[in-house]
Amino acid sequence: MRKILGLTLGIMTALGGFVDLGQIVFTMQAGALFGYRLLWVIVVGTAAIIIYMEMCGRVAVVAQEPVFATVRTKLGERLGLATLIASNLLNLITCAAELGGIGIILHLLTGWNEHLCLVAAAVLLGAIIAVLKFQWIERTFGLFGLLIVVFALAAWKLQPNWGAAARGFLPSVTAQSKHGLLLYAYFAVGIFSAMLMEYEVHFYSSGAIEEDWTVDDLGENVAVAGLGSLLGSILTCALVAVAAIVFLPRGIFPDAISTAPLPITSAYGARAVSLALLGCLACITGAAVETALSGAYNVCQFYNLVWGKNLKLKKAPAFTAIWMAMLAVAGVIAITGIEPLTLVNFSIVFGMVVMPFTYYPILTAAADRNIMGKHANGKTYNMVGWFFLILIGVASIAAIPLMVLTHSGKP
Amino acid sequence: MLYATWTAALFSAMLLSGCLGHRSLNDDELKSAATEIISIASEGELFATVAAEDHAPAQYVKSHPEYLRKEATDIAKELAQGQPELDAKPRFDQLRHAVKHLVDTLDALPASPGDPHWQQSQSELNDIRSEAERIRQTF
Repeated sequence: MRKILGLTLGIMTALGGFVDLGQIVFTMQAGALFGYRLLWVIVVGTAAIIIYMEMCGRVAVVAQEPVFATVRTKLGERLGLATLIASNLLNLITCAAELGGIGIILHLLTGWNEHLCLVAAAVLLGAIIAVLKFQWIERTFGLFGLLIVVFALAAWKLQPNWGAAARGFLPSVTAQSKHGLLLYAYFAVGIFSAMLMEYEVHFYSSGAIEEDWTVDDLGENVAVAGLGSLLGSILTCALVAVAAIVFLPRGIFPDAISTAPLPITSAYGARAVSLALLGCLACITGAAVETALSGAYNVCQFYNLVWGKNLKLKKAPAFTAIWMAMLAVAGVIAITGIEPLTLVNFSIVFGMVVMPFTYYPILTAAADRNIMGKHANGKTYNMVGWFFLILIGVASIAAIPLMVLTHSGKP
Repeated sequence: MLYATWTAALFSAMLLSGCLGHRSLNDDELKSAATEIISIASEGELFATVAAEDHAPAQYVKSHPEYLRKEATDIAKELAQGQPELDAKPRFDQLRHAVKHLVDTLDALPASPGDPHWQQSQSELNDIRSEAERIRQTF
C-alpha cells in the first residue's frame, strides 16, 4: 500500500507538471490545428522527462543533492544564480497563470466572482500547504488530479481515427503554407517544453528527499518517474485526441480554459462536464502548489538554507517565507487581469530557453562517478541523456523566433 | 547631436502613430482575424447545440459565454484600432460587420440550458461562420 501511495509523487509531479493550464489549452490547440500529427512530440517529451526525472531523483537519493544544489555545483555561482533567478521568475509566472486558471474554473463551477475565487483559492492553497505534510500534499493533489481521466474516457468514447492516431506517432510534416509549417514547429516545441517544465524536476527531486528515499528506493524512483509520466502522457494524448475529433472538423481553435470541457459534452453530457472541470481544477491546483513550493526549494537549496515541507514552519523560516511570498505575488499578478494564457505562453517559451541550464547539471551530476559511485549513469544511458539534452538545446534556440514568427501560435 | 535629433524624430513619430491609434493591418492579419471569427462562431454554435439539448451544467451554460464574448470583443477592438491596406477596405468592413454581429449574438445568448431560443442563436452563429468563411476565402 505504501508503495502504491508512493506513486502519488510521480502522479502529482506529472499531472501538475505537464497537464497544467498551459498544457491543457496548448495540446488542445495542437489537436485542433493538426489533428493527431503532433502525437510523436508527446512520445519524445515523455521519454525525455522520464529519463531526467529518474536521474534527478537518483542524484537526490544517492548524493543527497536536489536540483539547485547540483546547479550551483555544476554551473558555478554566477551562472547558477542567473539560472535560479530565471527559473524562479518562470515559477512565479506559471503560478500566477495557474491561479488565474483556478479563478476561471471556480467561476465556471459556481458563478462566483472570478477574482474573489482567485484570492480565496490562493489563501486556501496557502493554508493547505502550511497544514499538510508533504506526503499528504502529493496524495491529495495526485489522487484528486486523476479526475482528469474523464478526458481519456471521452476520447475513447468519441472513437478516434485509430489509423490517423497511429500515424501521428511518427514525425511528419505536411503543412500547406510557410505559416502552417512555422505553426507546426511552434506547437511541437511548445508541447515538448510544457512536458519538460523545470519545476517538475525541482519538485520531484525535492520530494524524493522530503520522503526520505534511500538507495533501496531507487527501484521505486524508476517506477514513480516512469508510471507517473506515462499517465500524464496518456492524458496529454487524450487531450489531443478529443480536440482532433471535436474541434478540428469545426474549425474551432480553443483559446480559453473554459472551452476545454466542451468535447466532453458530446461524449457524456452535463455531469461529465463538471467532472472535467474538477479534473482540470485539480491538475491546475497541483501545478500552482508545485510552482510555489519549487520557488522555495530552489532558493533554499542554492543557498544551503534549511528547507523541508515536513519541518515545522518556524524551523525553516526562509523556506516558509518564500513559498508564501510566491503564492502572494503570483496572486497579485493574476488579479491584475493579465490573461492566464498569455502568462502560460510566455512561461512555456521562455521556460524552454532556460531549460538547458537545469537539465545539463542533472545529466552531468548523474554521470559523475565521484558523486554517484556505482549508481552513476552507464554509457548508453548517458548517450540517451545527451541526445535529449541536444534536443532541448535545439528547441530552446528555436523557441523565441518561432513565438515571434507565429505571433504566439496564432492560426 | 544628429543622433539625438533622429531619436527625437523617431520618438515623435511613434508617439504620433500611438496617439492616432490606427495600425495598418495587412492581408495576413485580416485573414487571421477572419479565422478567429470562424473559430468563435463555430464554438458558439457547438455550445448552443449542447445548451439546447441540456447537455451542460446550468452554471457552465451561464458563465462560458462571458469568455467567448471577451474573445470576440478583443477581435472587434483590434479591427477598430486598425486600418486596412487600400484595396482591402471592403473586405475589412465586412469583417468588422461580422464581428459586430458575433458580439451582438453572443450578448443575446439565453442564460439557461434547454431554452428554446438556443436554436435561433445557433442558426445566427452558423450564418456568421459562413459569412466569415466567405470573407476569408477572398484573402
